[in-house]
Amino acid sequence: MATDLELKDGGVADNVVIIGGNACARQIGEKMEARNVPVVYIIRETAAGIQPGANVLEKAGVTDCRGGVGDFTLSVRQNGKRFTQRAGAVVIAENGDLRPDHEAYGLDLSPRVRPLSEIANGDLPDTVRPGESVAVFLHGLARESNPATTRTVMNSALTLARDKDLKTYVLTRNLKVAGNGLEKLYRSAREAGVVFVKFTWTAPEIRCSHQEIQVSFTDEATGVLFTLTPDVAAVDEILAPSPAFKQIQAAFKLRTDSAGFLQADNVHRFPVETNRKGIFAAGPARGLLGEHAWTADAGAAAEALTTVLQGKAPDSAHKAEINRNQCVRCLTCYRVCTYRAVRIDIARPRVIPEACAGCGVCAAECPREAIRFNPYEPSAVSAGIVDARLERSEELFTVAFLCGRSAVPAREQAFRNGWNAPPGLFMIDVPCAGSISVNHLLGAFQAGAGGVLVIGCHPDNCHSENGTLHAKSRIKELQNIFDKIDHPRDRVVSASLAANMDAGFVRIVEEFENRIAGFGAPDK
Amino acid sequence: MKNLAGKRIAVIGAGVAGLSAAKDLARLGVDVTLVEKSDTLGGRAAGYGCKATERCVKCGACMVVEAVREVEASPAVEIRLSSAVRAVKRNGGHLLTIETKNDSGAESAEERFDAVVLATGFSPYDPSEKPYGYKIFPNVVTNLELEAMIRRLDRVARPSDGEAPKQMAFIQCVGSRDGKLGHLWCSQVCCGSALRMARWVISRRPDTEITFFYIDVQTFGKDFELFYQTVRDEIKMIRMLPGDLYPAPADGIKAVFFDPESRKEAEMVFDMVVLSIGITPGRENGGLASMFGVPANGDGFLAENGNGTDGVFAAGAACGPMSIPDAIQNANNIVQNVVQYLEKG
Repeated sequence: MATDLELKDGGVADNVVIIGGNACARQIGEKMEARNVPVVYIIRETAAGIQPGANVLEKAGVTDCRGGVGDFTLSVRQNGKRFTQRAGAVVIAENGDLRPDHEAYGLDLSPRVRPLSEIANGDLPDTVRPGESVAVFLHGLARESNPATTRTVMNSALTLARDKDLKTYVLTRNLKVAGNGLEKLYRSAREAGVVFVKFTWTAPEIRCSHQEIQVSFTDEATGVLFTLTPDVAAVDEILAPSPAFKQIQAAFKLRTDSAGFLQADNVHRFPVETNRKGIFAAGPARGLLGEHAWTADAGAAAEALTTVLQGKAPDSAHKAEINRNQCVRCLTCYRVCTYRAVRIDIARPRVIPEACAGCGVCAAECPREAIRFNPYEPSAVSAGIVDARLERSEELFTVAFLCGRSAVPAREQAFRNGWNAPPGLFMIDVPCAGSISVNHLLGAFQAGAGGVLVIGCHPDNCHSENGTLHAKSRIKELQNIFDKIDHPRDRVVSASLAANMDAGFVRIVEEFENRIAGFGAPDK
Repeated sequence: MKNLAGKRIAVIGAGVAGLSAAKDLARLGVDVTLVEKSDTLGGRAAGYGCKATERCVKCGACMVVEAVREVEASPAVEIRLSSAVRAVKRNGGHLLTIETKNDSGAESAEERFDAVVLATGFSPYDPSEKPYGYKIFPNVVTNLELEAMIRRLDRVARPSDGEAPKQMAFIQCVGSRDGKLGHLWCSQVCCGSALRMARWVISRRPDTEITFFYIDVQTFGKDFELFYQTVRDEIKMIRMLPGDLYPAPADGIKAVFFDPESRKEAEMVFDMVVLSIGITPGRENGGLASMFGVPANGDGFLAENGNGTDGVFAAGAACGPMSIPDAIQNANNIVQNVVQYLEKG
């Protein structure tokens, strides 16, 4: 298929690989094909539901992904065969596992105890009699639910009460109505006769024998004891990462959230970005449930894919570079790079410029100082600090390294608010707090700084994931040295804030200046 | 994909959704005119504080700063502050009359665009009509006012004396889920905003006693289960909204409510009360709907995706309550639809 996509210079792969074949994946594929971008689906199962004529590798999986945006090489395994597949960009929309949580109530699945989706599909036991039978939804009792599941529960309950004439109960803790139309749906369901029972400090007692299910509870509002013997009970289904997620995570080297979904829980990745440029996670792959969320994600993913395939995504101004003569191949850089921008070429690490986000963590971490990260080389930065010291007549000279993502915008806003920087303070803007090495810190002290402040992003809010943690560990390293030479360890201070914390920035700087003033100027 | 250079889009509103749409369209080579009625970029979320405790709590408020910086730096975005659309003509494209206020009054110009994105946001519910003494008792504030306090001051101060509150209450669903008002919707963001702020206050001043009056706690964020566990340890949760608030000594506030556990009337005294006010349709939604021919739903929110076939789109909280991350996702999706529309034309 011819493509009229306007490719960026040097781009070699102009296609999109989609991992998964569900509704979210298909919507992304259709949107990209509509703009003549070649699409390859890689699907663990068969290609059911994918439009005829689509390029599908079914019963296939990816085992490795090398390269950077515009030029990925995927290792694919299909039917015992191995081959490579090029990709300009990749989106992962793999299905998670929807697991019924019956075990949380001590129940086994049976004709009477059914996963919510079966009841939602109208799959009821034969014993259910309209006008007589009782249906119970055990919803969000074992764990907090979510609006997508609540929508299914309320739609199903409404149908059972209105169309099947069942006595229908929804037993829940917090009813999750934070979705469009859900408060109205709640009211419609109640008008149709659905009884909602909410638990706050008590929980229903659920017993199950071969004969029947018995649900007993005290209505918290009235104190009255109720016992239900439902003919059918629906249990919530929980979206969990499927076993394939682990394998995908390993193949693509993705950061996951705490549950194992394929996107770190970091606001800077929302909606569909991952730690690798040009690799996106959408819909169930990032833990989303519900048709509305999948559709919105599909659109967001198509927009993101279009942007990167055209080379229009913002890129960092500076890239790390490895000096081969100094490198001893310890692979520290390979390990610490959040963006997977270091590849190993015949046992030698090399930076992939398209993948590098210019955070400088690798340069600061390299034990051989073999990585150049201009213009933030410790020697150049230290020279700047020496000049700054000479320009200042204040007895007390302090240095602050500020993360360009958080502290710099906060300072700029503080300036607009009328803040005046302390005259003895020299501020250095860096791309990430993680780019500050012990050499940078020592350079500041050698230039006569009485104190050094490093401000990074809050943990979990760092674009490079661990920048602040790296900075903190280096500061500890230096503090340990200070302890040994009997130098006040708190002359070097780390702090974290967010880009919208201009008032917090001013407070942190003031606290720092006061503390260092307490120590006084360092001995010459 | 066709080259979109030379296409012109008007984005109306420079809040989270409008900024996201503007920066993403600009990246794709579209010329964007960003029309904002106030004199700053960022919209309401620019007034929200960072609620991180020992770590980020994923409210997304800091992302607004990032979006503002990208839009300000983008040569493809023309920013029109203190501006509003006064008239629309359909004549090939969309002929908008944009009025810009300046020192000597206002001036208007007619400009042609290929498509329009309405990202005009929401109006916060005015709680004056509720029996909560808003604007009567000095220490009753809204959640948005508390957000702004955290943003501007980096601390919480009682309006009456500037002191840190010791007994705080949050009252949820003020103007949301309210049949009497005809507001049959959950505002979706207030549980997250209030509980994150409550935990932020406790992280700064651990001796603060906080009571949370609610109907149902809504899930927010990925690790909600863990967050909610901590909340229940740190905060007194009462599943009932107070009927009335009364003045108490020292500018305090007495809340009278039916205590669900004892099933008796109870009262508690606070030195600061925060009303979590709902998201209501933007006051201009009706005018925009008729001016642009975009359908609005029965509640007054604009139809998501606007009137896409005619090149007018709607995004963000103009279409209904949504969190900051949801508004960004929504704007990304709308940009995809805009691009699809432009490619056809």
